[in-house]
Amino acid sequence: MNTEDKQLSSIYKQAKQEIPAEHIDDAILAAAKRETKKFSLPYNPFSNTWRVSASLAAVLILSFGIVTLIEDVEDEFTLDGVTPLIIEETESRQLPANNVEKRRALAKAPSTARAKSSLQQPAAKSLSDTSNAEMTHDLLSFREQDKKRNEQLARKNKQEAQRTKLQTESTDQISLSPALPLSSPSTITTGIDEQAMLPYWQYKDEGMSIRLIQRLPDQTRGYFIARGFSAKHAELIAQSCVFQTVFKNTSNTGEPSAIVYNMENWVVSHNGKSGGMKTREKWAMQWQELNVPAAAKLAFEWGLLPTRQDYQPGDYNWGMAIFDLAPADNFNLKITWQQHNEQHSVIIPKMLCAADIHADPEAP
Amino acid sequence: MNDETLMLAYCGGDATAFASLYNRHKGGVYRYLKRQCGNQATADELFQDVWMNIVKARQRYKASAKFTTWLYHIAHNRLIDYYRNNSRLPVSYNEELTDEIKDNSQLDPVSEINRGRQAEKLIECIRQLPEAQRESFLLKEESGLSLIDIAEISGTSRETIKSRLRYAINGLRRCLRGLL
Repeated sequence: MNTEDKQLSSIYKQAKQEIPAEHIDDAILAAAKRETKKFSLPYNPFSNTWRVSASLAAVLILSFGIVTLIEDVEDEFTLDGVTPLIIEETESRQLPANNVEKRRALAKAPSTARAKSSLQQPAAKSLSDTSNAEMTHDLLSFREQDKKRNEQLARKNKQEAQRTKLQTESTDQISLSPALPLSSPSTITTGIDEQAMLPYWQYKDEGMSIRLIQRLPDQTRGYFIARGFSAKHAELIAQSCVFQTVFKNTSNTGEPSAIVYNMENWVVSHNGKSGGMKTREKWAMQWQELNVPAAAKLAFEWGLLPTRQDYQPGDYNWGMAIFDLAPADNFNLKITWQQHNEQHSVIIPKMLCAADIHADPEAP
Repeated sequence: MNDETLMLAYCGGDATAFASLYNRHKGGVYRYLKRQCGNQATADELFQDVWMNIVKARQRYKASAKFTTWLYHIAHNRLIDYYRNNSRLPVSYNEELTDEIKDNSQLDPVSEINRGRQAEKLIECIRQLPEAQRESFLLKEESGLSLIDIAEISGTSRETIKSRLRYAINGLRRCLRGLL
């Protein structure tokens, strides 16, 4: 017996020639086409692409310098026996005005808690050891000054590199935010969710992922009627295009950084018109007018993904997102969030609300 | 136009070159992933990841590397990532070869005589192969790569691939006994 078996090969070729679904073909080919618009010029070592390389090299050298400096200072902390808790508290106290910086600092500490709403964030504790705190404060001031100076330089070089890149970049259907790092391997995928057995759309990069899975109007009706809504009121939700949404901060496996999003800033484009999401707050006003029972309103609030939320590295949360569209409507969704002290955005194109189909029960 | 030329054309901004490449290889890569992971939803996701990786990494592509080897290497790596993330890296990637596949010599050849049934049965038999053997067989059938290329993708030697293929073919023949 050798490694060739013509008979088996011939039978194998008779087997079902499975191929990917058409919508997957479309998604991949569209993504490939968009990418060509970003870098459509053939590589030429003497063209102005040398500027990108030079800027990137400068960013790398400076980043290396920053890391070395930070590590040196952090070694001193360790030798001085300063605990991570005190560092965290001192940084919180030192930088009260700069919320994002504070979150970045907090993100470096190990995170055990799940995502909390920004309204639920506990206040920083007071320091118990004054001498330790003062020493930490001095060291941190030194470190902060040094770090900020180097970060400014790195940011400037990065912006230069980004500007050069943008000269050849088109902002077509899907546009990744200019603030997204150059090397970020971001992907938008679509398919059938294994658990729900319904279509999903997913975006992920090195720091975050979001997956939106269709919910059938019937599922939504059943869910809310079982939680105290009248059939008439549950119908309002069921007819508003609901997706089960899973949002994750995945930066714990790379460069840890907290994420903040506000759904009020997300944009839903449908038939050439742009609108916003139908958030908890908008629904709350409607439920008030319709005298929906308090218990049902509470169940509704818990069922939805929070409008605004902070995620520490490794945190995740899920809930329903409602788009205020009709069943079977097509739309593009622009998502924005903050991470690494930068604003990011992505447009997920050609999303589809679930159709309102009443499936017959399966025959026994 | 060969794969490498098409890929270079895509690197230069020709989206139609990518479409040709994609149409040429989508079936093979898809079946490789689906028959390895055994699940359509997962295969869909892995498949899209593979092609998006090709798109993103196009500037690292060198014409000296055979496109198919590169493509299936990415698919193989993505599959291994999937196994790792799901804490089920198949043990058979680390072991040597076994004869785990069921012997179907008791099958009634009269009732299963037609080619369609043979092919269906073969897919079922492939599913029963240990992962490493299954991968070697699928890479050979779907990509048409040489033993050396398959060895490079699988991160092992040509001799190991040869053994895996021999065991795979033995196993499949045994599984199809009575139908061949």
